Amino acid sequence: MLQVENLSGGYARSHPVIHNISFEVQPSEMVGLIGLNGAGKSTTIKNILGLLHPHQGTVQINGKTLEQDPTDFRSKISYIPEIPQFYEELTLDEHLQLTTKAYRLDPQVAKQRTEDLLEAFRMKKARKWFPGTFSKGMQQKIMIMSAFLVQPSVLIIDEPFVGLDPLAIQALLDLLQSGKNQGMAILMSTHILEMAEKYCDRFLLLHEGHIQLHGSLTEMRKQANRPHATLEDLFIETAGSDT
Amino acid sequence: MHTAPLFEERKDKSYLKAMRIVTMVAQGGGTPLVIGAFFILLYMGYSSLLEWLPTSFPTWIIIAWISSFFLTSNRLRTWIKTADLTYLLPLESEMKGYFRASIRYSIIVHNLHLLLFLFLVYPFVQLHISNFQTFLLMIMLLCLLQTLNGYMAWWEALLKPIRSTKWLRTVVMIRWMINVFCSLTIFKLYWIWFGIGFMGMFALLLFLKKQAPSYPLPWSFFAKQEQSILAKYYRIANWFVDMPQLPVEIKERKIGVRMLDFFFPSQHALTFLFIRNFVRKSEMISIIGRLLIWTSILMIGIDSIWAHLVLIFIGLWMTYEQLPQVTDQRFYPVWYRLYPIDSRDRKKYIRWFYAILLWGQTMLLGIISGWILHSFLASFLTIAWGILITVLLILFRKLHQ
Repeated sequence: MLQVENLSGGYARSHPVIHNISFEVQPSEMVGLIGLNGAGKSTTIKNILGLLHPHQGTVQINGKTLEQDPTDFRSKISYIPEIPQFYEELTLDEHLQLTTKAYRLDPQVAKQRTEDLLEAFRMKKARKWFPGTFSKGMQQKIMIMSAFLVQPSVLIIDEPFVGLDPLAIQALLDLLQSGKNQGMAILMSTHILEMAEKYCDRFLLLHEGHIQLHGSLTEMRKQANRPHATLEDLFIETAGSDT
Repeated sequence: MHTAPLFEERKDKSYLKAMRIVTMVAQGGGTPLVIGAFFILLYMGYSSLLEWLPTSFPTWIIIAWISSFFLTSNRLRTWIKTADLTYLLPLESEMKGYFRASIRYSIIVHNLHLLLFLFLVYPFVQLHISNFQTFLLMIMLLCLLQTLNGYMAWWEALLKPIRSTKWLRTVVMIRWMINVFCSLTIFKLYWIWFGIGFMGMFALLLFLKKQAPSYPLPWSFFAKQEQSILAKYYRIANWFVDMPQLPVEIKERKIGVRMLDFFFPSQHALTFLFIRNFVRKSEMISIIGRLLIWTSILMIGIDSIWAHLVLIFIGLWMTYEQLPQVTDQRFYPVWYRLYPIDSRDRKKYIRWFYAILLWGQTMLLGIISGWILHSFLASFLTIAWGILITVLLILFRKLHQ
C-alpha cells in the first residue's frame, strides 16, 4: 500500500508546488491523479519516488519510508515516466535483462514474463534493436515492459497512453487490470479523463498544489454538489474555476 | 537573403565558447603542468625515435599512409542544428552562401591540420626523403589534393539522401585509394605517376559533381555530424573541465560486448550497464584507445624505467578522469536512480569497473615496458606501480556516481 501524509514539496523551499497532500492507494486499487498542467502532479510523483526530497510529510510503502530502507522501498515500486526514457546503448532485450538484474528477479520467471510482454506489445521483432531508432510509441513500450517485468507492489504511471497505438493501449489496460487483480496499487496521472473515469477506482483532483476533490466519482459528485456530473465536468468546474 | 553572415556568426560564437573552455582549462589546477610534462615527454620520445630509426626504414610509406587519412577524412563543419530543420528549411534555396562559407572554412581547417602534420614529420622527410625545396612542392600538391577532397566531401553529403550507404562507402573507398596512390607517388617523388593519380581524382570529382543534386540538402545528416564533432571536442575538454554530455553515435560492437560478457559472465546490473556504455558509446572507447596508443608510443621512444613509471601514472590518471562519463548518474535516465541498489553496492560496482579497466591498461603498458627494456623486472615493476596507482585513485579521488 502507498501512503502519502501531509506531503509538501517542490523545487525550492521558498516556493512549494504541492501543499499538505494526503492520500493512499490500497492494493488492488487504481487511483487517477488528475489536474491541469502545473497543478503539481509530476511534483507529487517525484516526491513519492524520492527524486525530490519532501519539504514536509512522509511517503510510505507498506509502512516503510525510503529513508528507513531504501533498497526495500525501491524494490516495491516501478515508474513509467511521461517522456520516453531509455538507455541508448542498450537494445530492447538488454533493457529487460538490466531490469531483471537490478530488481534481482528470478531469471526463469523474468524470461517467461519477457516473452509474454514482447508478445503483448508486438515487439518481438525489435528485441535486438537499439531504441534510438524506435518511434515514440515503441520507446514508450520499453518503459511499460520494464515496469511490468518487475510486477511491483506499487506502480506509478505518468500519462501512459500518449503515443501508443490502439492495440498497445488495450495491452496496457489489460496489464493494468491483471496487475490490479494480483494486488498491485496503481497511481496513474492522466489527462485522458474518459479513460480515467472508466478504469480508475478513485481520483485525486489536484489544483494549484492542493487536493480539491478526492474519492470515487460518486463521492466527488457529492463534494462538488453535482450529482450527475461526469469526471470531465467536475474537472472543468474545479480546475477551470479561477483561471 | 544573404545567409553567409549566419555561418560567420555561428562560427564566431563557437570560437568564443571554445576560447572560454580553453581559458578554464588553462586556469585549472595542475592541468597545464600535466600537459607541459606530456609535451616534454613527447618531444623526448620523438627525438629518440629520430635517432633510432635506420635510414633504410621506409618512412615515406608511413607518412604517405597517414597523409591519405588526412586527405580522405573531410568532415564538413556546418554548425547546423536540429532546430534548423524547422527554422531554416524554408530558406533552403537561399542557403548557398551559408554552405559556401562552410565548405571554404572546412577546406581551410583541413589544410591546416594537414600542414601541422607535415610540419611535425618534416624532420623525418629531411632525414629520409628529400630537401626543403622538394618538401615545399610536396606540401603544395598535398594541399591541392586536400582542397579537391573537401569539395568531394560536400558532394558526397548531397548524395546522402538519394544514394545507398554502400554506394557512398564505395565512393569514399575509391577516393581513399586514389589518395593513398597520390601520397605514395608524392613522397617517392614519382611525379608522372602522381599526374596520373591526380587526373583520376579529378575524374572522380567531376563524376560526383554531376551526380550530386542541388536539393534537398541533407539537414539531418549535417545536424548529426555537427553533434558528433561537438561531442568529440567536449569529451576531450571533459578531461580538464566539466562539460555537458552530448548525444553520441551508438555502435553495436557485438564482438567487444561478447568478449567482455565471456570474461565476466555473471555481471551485476551496474556492470552490465557500464560495460555496454563503455563499449558502444563510440567516443569513449576510441579516446581511451588513443590514450593507450600515445602512452605506448611515448614509452617506445623513451627507454627508461623512470619515464615509463611517469607515463603510466599520467596514462592511468587521464583514463580515470574520463571514466565518470560511464558511471555518473547524470548521464543515465531516471530509472538508474530508482533501482533498488543501495549506495554501498553502487560504489562497489563502480570501483570494480574502474579497477578492471585500469588494471587492463596497466597490464598492457607493463608488457610493453618489459618488451622495450628487455626486462621481466621492468614489467613486474610497472604493473605493480599501475596496480598501486589504480588503488590510490579509486580510494582517494572523488567517486562520481
